[in-house]
Amino acid sequence: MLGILRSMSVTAKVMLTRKPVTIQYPEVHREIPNRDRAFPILIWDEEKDEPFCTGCHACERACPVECMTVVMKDNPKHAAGESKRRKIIDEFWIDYGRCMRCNICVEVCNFEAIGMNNTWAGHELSRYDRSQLVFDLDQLLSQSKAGKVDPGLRA
Amino acid sequence: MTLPEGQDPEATSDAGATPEAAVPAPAAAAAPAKPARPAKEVEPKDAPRVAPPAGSINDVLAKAAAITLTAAYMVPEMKGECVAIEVARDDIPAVMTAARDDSRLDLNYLRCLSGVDWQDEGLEVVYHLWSISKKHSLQVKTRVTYEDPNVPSIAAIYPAADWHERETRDMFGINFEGHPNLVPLLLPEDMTDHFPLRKDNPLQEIEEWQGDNLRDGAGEGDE
Amino acid sequence: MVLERDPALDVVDMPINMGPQHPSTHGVFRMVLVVNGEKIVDLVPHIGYMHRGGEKLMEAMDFRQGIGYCDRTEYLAQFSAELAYCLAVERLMDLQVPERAEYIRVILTEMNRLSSHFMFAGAFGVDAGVFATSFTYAFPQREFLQEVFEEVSGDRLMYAYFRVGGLAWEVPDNFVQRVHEVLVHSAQGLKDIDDLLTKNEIFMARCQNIGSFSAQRAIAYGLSGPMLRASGVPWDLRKDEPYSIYDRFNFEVPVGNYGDVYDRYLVRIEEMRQSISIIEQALEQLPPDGPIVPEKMPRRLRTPPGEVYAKVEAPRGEWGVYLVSKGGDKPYRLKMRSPSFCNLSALREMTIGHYLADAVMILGSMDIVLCDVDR
Repeated sequence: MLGILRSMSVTAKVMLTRKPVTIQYPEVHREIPNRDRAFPILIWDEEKDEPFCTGCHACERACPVECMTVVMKDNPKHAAGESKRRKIIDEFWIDYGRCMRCNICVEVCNFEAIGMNNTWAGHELSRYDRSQLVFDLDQLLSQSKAGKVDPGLRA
Repeated sequence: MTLPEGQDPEATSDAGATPEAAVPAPAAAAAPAKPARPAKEVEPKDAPRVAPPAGSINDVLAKAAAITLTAAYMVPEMKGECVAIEVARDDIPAVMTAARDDSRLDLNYLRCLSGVDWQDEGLEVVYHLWSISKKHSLQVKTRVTYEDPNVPSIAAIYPAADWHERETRDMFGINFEGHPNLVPLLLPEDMTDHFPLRKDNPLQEIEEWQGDNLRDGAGEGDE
Repeated sequence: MVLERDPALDVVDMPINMGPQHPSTHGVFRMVLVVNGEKIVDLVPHIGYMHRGGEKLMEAMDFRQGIGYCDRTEYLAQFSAELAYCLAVERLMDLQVPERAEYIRVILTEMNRLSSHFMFAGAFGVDAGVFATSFTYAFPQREFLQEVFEEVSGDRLMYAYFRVGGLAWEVPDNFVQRVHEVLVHSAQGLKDIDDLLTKNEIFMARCQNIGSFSAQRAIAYGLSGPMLRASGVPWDLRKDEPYSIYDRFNFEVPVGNYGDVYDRYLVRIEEMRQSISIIEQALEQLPPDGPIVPEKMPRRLRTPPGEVYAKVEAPRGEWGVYLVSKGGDKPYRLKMRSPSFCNLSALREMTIGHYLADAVMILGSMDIVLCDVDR
């Protein structure tokens, strides 16, 4: 009997003291740490007005689930003398439905061209069809182009 | 934002073909890559084998079970090394009974039982034994061929081996003779002739199948 | 006069199917129980619903890529699974992990044990009929711990933070302070759970003398971790075969007397206290700075040919990784010896003769993770 009273004292105490911690999610977003790993996005080089990515296939080869497809091309801006990058990314697809968010692509990248999205935009990605989770180059760059990347993003 | 549906499948498959031709996929087997760099063949193919010091548990075990060991050598453990022995498959029950019952060995804990597919050299069953009182461990190995993959079951000696043996049968097709209930455990019950962990099951095909199917069907689902 | 009994009222054996979708099987697990009245006369477990061929997949992955798969196998003790895999590769490569990385690994692994045992306390309370009350006390604590893991690794569940040779990146600057904060919460939460359940007469009546296993049988069936220690075998890999730097900490190995469900619960609660003590010691000894990967770290991870069986004391027992390498950057064969798998294999022996309702308790006391059973 004593044990049951003891148990009930715990519930009574908590009932009186604990404040609700619920966050009203769709309206209010929880603050996420700046190392948060959502899905990989590509980074836009504002200075040269082109992506950092040169399409070197390093991430594609290191990806454990083979969710990336990379196509490289000659950089027209290099020919015009505007950029030091000889090659530039032509096409890039990441299948977010397969990606396991392991951060390996970020680790192997030599150009700091890819980073794990650490904003809420990287989490709210629900789609009606899984083929819509295959993101192309424009989609992967859009967030960085718009300057909406968290400054803590580690590329 | 969705992909432009008219051009996407074509463009994706084009893009998919280019890097695959240029760069070997990471999951590709090591075999085709090998002739490319013959200079690096200095790497030893097998781990060097060091015989255990005299009077180690392999000697005790050989005497207690009254059998001769095929081989005995040291293998690395977390800290230090432990003895590994290879025995003929018919000696397995005698070895296990002796290992469990002999007071000098007292290897009463079967911590792991696994199969290894050595391709040309047949299939191997590895038993990891541990003595809770004496704090020493022993690995017992035995080899069988693909044509005759029968190993005596030790489920009666170590009850822990029951599920391990069933799992190993599922994955490698090793038939543990005398097992009370050798039906598939992890695999479907009717899957008795396909052994996924054998090396003749390549992974690459499955990967390609997933990728192509996903891309070909892109955008069809929501129309 | 002899009373005649209506033969239609005779009790016959009846098979009952439980699962695979059942709230108290802790995942996709099915068991067919044969009951006579309320007593269980036979039990056939069916597993494999979540078999994903992880061992085969990892044969095609190099040693860095495989780490992500360890998380997905043991999703309540991810750091333990990652640690075992890293230790196996490090042993084969003969890599020396820097001190600071070792300490951070120990701190995170022990915190992971806390969060896993909080999960157990919550789920086990539900099995015992406390309904969701125990969950509401255990889960906030797990959440506090997970927040630290998220701040450190960037992910809430699939950390992929350990690397062969050390860690993926440095912990945040306020790591030590955050761990101290969370430990205060954990100690409080542990006290709450303790008050709520341990001496509760209803809970005790529900748990005691159920699923008893003697030490000898527990060893023969290959039980490990809290399951084995509850049967009175003081066997803890952190003490008996110290890996990493566990030989530097003082802690006790709690042992039960009867090997029943209640003892398993008590052992886990006591283990949590010991874990808190280990974390506090590790935080004290943690070098303030230093490398987290070896200085002579090879660019490409290649092991010499050989084999090693690495094991760690995961919250559920011995998590083993049997790694066979033929040289090169991928495992030739990788076997994961999961504690849940081995513990679950004794379920049939444990439940026969008990009441149907107790089968749920016995299964709950095993604290299985079905992903880890099926791999």
